Amino acid sequence: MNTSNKLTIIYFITAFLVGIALFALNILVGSVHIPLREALQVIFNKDNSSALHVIIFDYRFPQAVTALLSGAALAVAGLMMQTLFRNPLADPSILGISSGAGLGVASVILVSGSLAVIPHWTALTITSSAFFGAVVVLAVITLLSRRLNSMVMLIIIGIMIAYLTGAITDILKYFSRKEEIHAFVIWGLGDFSAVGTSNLDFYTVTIIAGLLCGMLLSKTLNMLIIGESYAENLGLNIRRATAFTIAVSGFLTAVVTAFCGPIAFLGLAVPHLARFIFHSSNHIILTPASALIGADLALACNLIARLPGLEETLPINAVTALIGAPIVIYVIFRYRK
Amino acid sequence: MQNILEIDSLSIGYNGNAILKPITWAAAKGDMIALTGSNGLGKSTLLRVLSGRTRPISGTVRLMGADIHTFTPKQRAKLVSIVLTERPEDMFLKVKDVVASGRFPYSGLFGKISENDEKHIKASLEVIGINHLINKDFTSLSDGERQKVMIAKAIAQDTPLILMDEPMAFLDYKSRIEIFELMTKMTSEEGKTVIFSSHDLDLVNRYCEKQWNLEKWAVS
Repeated sequence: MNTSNKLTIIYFITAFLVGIALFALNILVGSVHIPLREALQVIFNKDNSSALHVIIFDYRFPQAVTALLSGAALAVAGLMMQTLFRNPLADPSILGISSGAGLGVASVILVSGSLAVIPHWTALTITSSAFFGAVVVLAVITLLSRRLNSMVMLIIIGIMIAYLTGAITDILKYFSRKEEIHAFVIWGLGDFSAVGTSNLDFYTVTIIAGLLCGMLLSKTLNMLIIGESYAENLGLNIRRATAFTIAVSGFLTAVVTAFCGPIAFLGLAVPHLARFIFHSSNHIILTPASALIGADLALACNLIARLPGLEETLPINAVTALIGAPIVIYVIFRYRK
Repeated sequence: MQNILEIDSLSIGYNGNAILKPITWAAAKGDMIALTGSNGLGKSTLLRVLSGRTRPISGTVRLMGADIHTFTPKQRAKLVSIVLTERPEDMFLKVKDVVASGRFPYSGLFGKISENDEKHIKASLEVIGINHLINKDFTSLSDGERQKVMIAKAIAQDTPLILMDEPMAFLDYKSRIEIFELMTKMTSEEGKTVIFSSHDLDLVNRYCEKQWNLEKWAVS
């Protein structure tokens, strides 16, 4: 085994171990500190009536799993967009999918009333409407991608759709009450606690299915990175490959945005972190590497967002950029050629 | 000897408008053919049609005896490879990754490189004489070296026909001679058929026995 392969394995193991440590901290640390021994007792004890059991299993565990899966999903979705469009600034929101979700949510919150108190059915309605909005945009973009020859045209159309949906959302906001706008802003800040125990199984299965599809597209992405004309000559059906890539990336983005809000930064930054750390452009390595680093970063952000001593949970969107931006700058300087 | 490529009454152009006079040419195994003609005449378009990426207005392109459009993209990828003026730009691509991409038509779902693929990759680098660059970052290479890597990719693709669009573009005189020497080696020693477009008439006259000169359909 050569040095480069050994390093890749060491980086994978390190990212995995960091993930386990951060996951454990997400369970233990918060407004109520839980010592490790007590946490282990609660986890392995059948008694499920204690307060600690409720905190761990009803709140922290689903939230940590959501953060882990969301980070992995957005990172892989971002990687796919950056490779497809050969654009380092592409991210999962570039095709207007997050804006579509935003419009879906705006329609529910701003048109049908306030989110101030969220009964279960309302949360479900918001998730469904966000998903519906995202999927409509995704379907339009996927269909267009099969008719257009140029990635540049596709990206411009995606950005135009984002402006269109954003504009309609703004008009809805303009005619809404203060409380409703506040509720919409809160949704826009992102929240990993929104999935909860009731939807965790569904969330886990859909995200893992999306990630596996992403992994299956590794060869396609490795062909596209050489260049579109070369990829076509190597036997790739460009339109079909584009449609599949957009569908998988868009699906992951739609699911995460529907449940957790439009979480920015991770999808843009993590693929760059993966490339610089693993020093590779091979998607067989980059896809799982992005998923792992995305999960680690999302867990770290979730931890910082609800550090002990803070009265309120900080908005995830602010924390992801606050923590992520310096890390990206450091990694670029540390691993620059 | 069976022709590798047969072009019969081929008319190419855009939106149904022909840009060249209809062409009837043939290329045999080991031919090194220069495609000449002034700028904007349609050399790149013709190469795209010959690679099966674009359909002609009329006429046929036959590859190994069959119409090029009767092959699936994957079958075609094993018959004709291309070298273009565009280059991969990803800063983490290694030379080996680029050459290995030539093996994608032969690999499975994840594009895993088999022992046989490794042999082809090493042999291609050896033919071109760039074994020492194998672990280098592609974007760190000079223009001439990058061109050689793209040619190595085409050789790794193991196709009887290799089409090159302006392979001498951006290269200095020494590198241009090297590329001509390489193409001669590929055709005479490896038995490949190489068709390339070029404006380098001095070198074309020196190295190529066959030239296809394009003529405009109508002078406006």
